Amino acid sequence: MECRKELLERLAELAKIALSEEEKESICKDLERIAGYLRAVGEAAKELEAEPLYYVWDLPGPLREPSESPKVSIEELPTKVKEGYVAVPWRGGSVE
Amino acid sequence: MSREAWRVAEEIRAGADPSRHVEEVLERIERWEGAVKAFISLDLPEALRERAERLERKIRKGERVGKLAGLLVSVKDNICTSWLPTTAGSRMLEGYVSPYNATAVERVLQEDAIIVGKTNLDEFAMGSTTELSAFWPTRNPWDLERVPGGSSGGSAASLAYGGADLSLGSDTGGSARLPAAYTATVGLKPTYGLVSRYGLIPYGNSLEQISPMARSVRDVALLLEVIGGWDPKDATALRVERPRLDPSPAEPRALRLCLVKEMVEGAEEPIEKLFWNTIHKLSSEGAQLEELSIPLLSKALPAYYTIAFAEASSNLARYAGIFYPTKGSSGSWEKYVGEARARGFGREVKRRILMGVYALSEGFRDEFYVAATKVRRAIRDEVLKVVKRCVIAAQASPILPPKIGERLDDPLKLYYMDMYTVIANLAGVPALVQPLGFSQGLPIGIQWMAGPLEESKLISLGLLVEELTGIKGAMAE
Repeated sequence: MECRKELLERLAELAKIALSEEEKESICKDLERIAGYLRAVGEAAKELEAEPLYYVWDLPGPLREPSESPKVSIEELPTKVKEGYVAVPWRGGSVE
Repeated sequence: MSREAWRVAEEIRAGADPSRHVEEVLERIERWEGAVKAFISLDLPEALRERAERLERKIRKGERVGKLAGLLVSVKDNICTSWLPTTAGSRMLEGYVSPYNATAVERVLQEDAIIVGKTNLDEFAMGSTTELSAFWPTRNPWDLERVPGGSSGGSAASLAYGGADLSLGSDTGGSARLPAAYTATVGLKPTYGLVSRYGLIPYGNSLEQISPMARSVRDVALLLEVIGGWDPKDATALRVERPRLDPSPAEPRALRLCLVKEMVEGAEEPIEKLFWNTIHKLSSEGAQLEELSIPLLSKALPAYYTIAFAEASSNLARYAGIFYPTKGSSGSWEKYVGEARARGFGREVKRRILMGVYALSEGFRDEFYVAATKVRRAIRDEVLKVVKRCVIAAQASPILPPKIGERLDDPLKLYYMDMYTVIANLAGVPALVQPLGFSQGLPIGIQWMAGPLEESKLISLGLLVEELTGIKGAMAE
């Protein structure tokens, strides 16, 4: 992530946080460094054949019996699904 | 007052005066609190005395008296209480009083504990030093120029100077364990789902647990027995009974310890030295050692922070200037919300929310959030394989407690402090940090990790290590 003010302003708009000019300057630089550091997970994930883990005990067995695990499938929300994800307009997603 | 809390409770149940104990703790608070600033709010001394008198009457009448009889418990200020404010260390919630108690608080009260006050933390638990509280930094009672760790630094400091017998902290990526390492206290992050999160102000809800903190391993076990177990109010609470933890030390010859390269290397020299001394002592007593490497753990820290930021951006969306104290002032709704959030949140919280929004945004989520959740699965699977055959011995912190302000200029320097602790949160497994000793007067801790719901293994190992080091119940003087 380059320190692009227009991107920061878009993120601030989505997060609904009004930033002062001084904050924009320093937070922009911080986000650039943090994003550079976090990018390591993208590289690491490319070499893995793993599904995403959202709930740590998504294992069958005593930690969570499957019958006790009510789940809502995103397929039940066909009007909101785009390419396997729920599109969230306020995070920049939209369903055409 | 260097006794362990479980002994104090036993004495009170047997007829000792709980009011006297309240006075002992109040004296410590009077002596230390001005310098340390561990508490955001303290209950009135008269209210504490009245509770002690009520308990005394109960004992005299021969009524059932709880396991925590007369113990003074401090509660991290991101855990809801209905009679004291709950601020989460943020201006956003300044003056907020929750309409209900967290389940953990209810359970502590049912066992006749006395809640002394609410402790300081990094804003919304986002930090590792307790300097990022919107109110003031907390200082380390062992060295007032240094931080007590974070984000449960107020809880740890209150224990280290004797302002409480036990404390409820929370641990999202090491927030109970890092402060334990920096203050010669004990912090246990339970198995994910063992302790109800009902009433814990959420930050990274797939990672965090309310966590018992104390000055000894047995005291931590006592508190976990009280707060653990299924709660219908938390959908992620595991359907398990309240834990029963045997307070006897492990037999060294029955111990198998795994030393994972990525969790033991990279700490400062005095920390490494004390760590290896302890491991060699355990080995000479008969513990078996196994050395191994999990290379993917080098990605644990970025995976953890990506997930935590993403969850924070979602969890903190509720603070829009409507239901909570900090408001906006503009007529337009968009501006009103933006103003409220600009006023209410500190810089680190803003950074994390913005980074979370970025990690979840269309076009970036595969590279950041989805990738992090895949790395998390791989790490969880690797850790679960290892803890099936041994307890993992690990460092608690790569550095000694830093000086106040020393690491504030660079967020990555702060994140780095959690490099050994985030792994247990990603994997959901329990982890305990306890003191090993001191270097230049500064506490050093060690971390143990076991399999899911194997808190009893950690407790018995912790008791054995207390016997070896002779450190339990330590308080700064």
